[in-house]
Amino acid sequence: MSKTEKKWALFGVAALIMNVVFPYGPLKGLEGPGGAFLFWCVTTLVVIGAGVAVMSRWGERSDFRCR
Amino acid sequence: MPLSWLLVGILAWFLMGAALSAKARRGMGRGVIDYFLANRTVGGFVSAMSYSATTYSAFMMVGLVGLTYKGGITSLGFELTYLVGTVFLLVLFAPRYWLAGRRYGLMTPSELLSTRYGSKWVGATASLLCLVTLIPYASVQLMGMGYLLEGVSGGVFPFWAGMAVAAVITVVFSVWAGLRSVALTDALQASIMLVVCCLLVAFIALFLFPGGWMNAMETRPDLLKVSWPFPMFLGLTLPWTFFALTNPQVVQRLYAPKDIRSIRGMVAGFSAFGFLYTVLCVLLGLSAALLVPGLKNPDGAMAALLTKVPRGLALLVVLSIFAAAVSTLNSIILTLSSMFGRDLLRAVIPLSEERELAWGKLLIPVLTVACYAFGSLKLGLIAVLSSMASAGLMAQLPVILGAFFWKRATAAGAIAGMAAGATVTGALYVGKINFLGQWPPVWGLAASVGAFVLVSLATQPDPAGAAFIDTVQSDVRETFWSSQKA
Repeated sequence: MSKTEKKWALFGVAALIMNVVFPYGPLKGLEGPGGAFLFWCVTTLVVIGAGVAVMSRWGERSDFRCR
Repeated sequence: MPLSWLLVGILAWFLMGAALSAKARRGMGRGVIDYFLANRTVGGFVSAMSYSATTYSAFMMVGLVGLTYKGGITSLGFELTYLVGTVFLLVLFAPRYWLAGRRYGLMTPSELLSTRYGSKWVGATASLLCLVTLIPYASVQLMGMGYLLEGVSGGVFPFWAGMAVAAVITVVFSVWAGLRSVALTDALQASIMLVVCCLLVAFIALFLFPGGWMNAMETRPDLLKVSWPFPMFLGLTLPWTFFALTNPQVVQRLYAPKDIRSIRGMVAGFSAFGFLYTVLCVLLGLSAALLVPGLKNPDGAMAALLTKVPRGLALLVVLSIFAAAVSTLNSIILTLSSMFGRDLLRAVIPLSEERELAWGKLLIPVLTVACYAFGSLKLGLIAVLSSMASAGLMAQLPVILGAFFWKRATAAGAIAGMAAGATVTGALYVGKINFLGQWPPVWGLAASVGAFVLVSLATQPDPAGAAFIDTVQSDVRETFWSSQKA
């Protein structure tokens, strides 16, 4: 794994855990759109943005040959 | 809704899809790779839309809307956790599948396992698991169409006819030009799904909540609270989080993009589609809870909501749900037919490429008829089998991870892991047993991991397996990360 992939793997696992722990922890009793609804939307957008940033560092070699 | 409206709408949509299929057929070559993988030449936009349409089935506009109607926004967490997991896994695994597919000439996800573990029986076991779990899941798509058309036509369009129409369209879109046709028609169907969903939400927000949607939500603040019990959330979310690796109809798509730019476009486009479509469907569920409260069957929430909108818009929504079901179904059927020839038949008899392709094409209508027959039984068991599908497929997860990252993993361990995981999951679902309060997928995954690790450690690994891992890793480093050190 490249360094970026290792960081991405740690980030991804942390995001998945947070996605469960926060809504079922501190945000569980909150009513209204500012609670779990907003948290899940923001977390997902952050992960998508980070994923696009990681993919933007992929090389552009297109000379990989089929067998 | 009048039957004539439904028939004209379905016919117009079918003709558009058939025209795309015919266009796809004109550029088609002769081999199996061309038929099942579009000769690995799919561009970024079509890959993204096809991946989205394959992933998001009729469940979104019916099941997710119903879940939200009943339990509020926890369903958003369930679906968005799936999306986070999928983005996470695609960024890591899409390059690996894409490169391994090209280096080893792979066509199916199970074939990668056979190649890595040095045993055709590993791929055959994985394919058998996929067939057993996905045929009931696919038949539920047909059943959904049967019930939907019967419901919106007031019983004039019978259940069996709705299923038959969906089955015929599936066969036409799939068999005509393989993945070239499926990918193009999927792109059309994904566009319909998203545009119609946006239109419906806009109409509801503008015309059905004149005082503002947020003001209306203040009357039901409970809907914006986390309400599902944690074991239910975990039991539903866990299998879906790993959907991108365990469901062959989406894994096979990772072999098809034509270059790195197309893979990036596929992942980014799917992510945007998934986020938007999920949030819109949840908003529809919340709106239904406010506009049509008190339904006994939450799955009827969308149908009840459609009684509040103009007939033309309701027809478009019905067509978009139809499109979602067909696009998922034809992808599953196409993938299963390729796996049958490549991983099951070739495990027992030698097969030329021509005969393998002929078997694959034959299997498309055969599998569709099998799904139709299964669906027409209307068994209560199908609902159980349907929810078992993603959980059963998760038995492959440790085997897939081991294929890329654990050199000590063996073929015997892989077969034992899949068998143990599937058996435990199936037994607990059929027996309706939530051991220690946890849902079957939790125990199925534990059994799969345990058997895979223990049997692998007790048997000798194939040295070719370590070479596979090193080769793929080296290819990823040189092709995707050439400017970085490992």
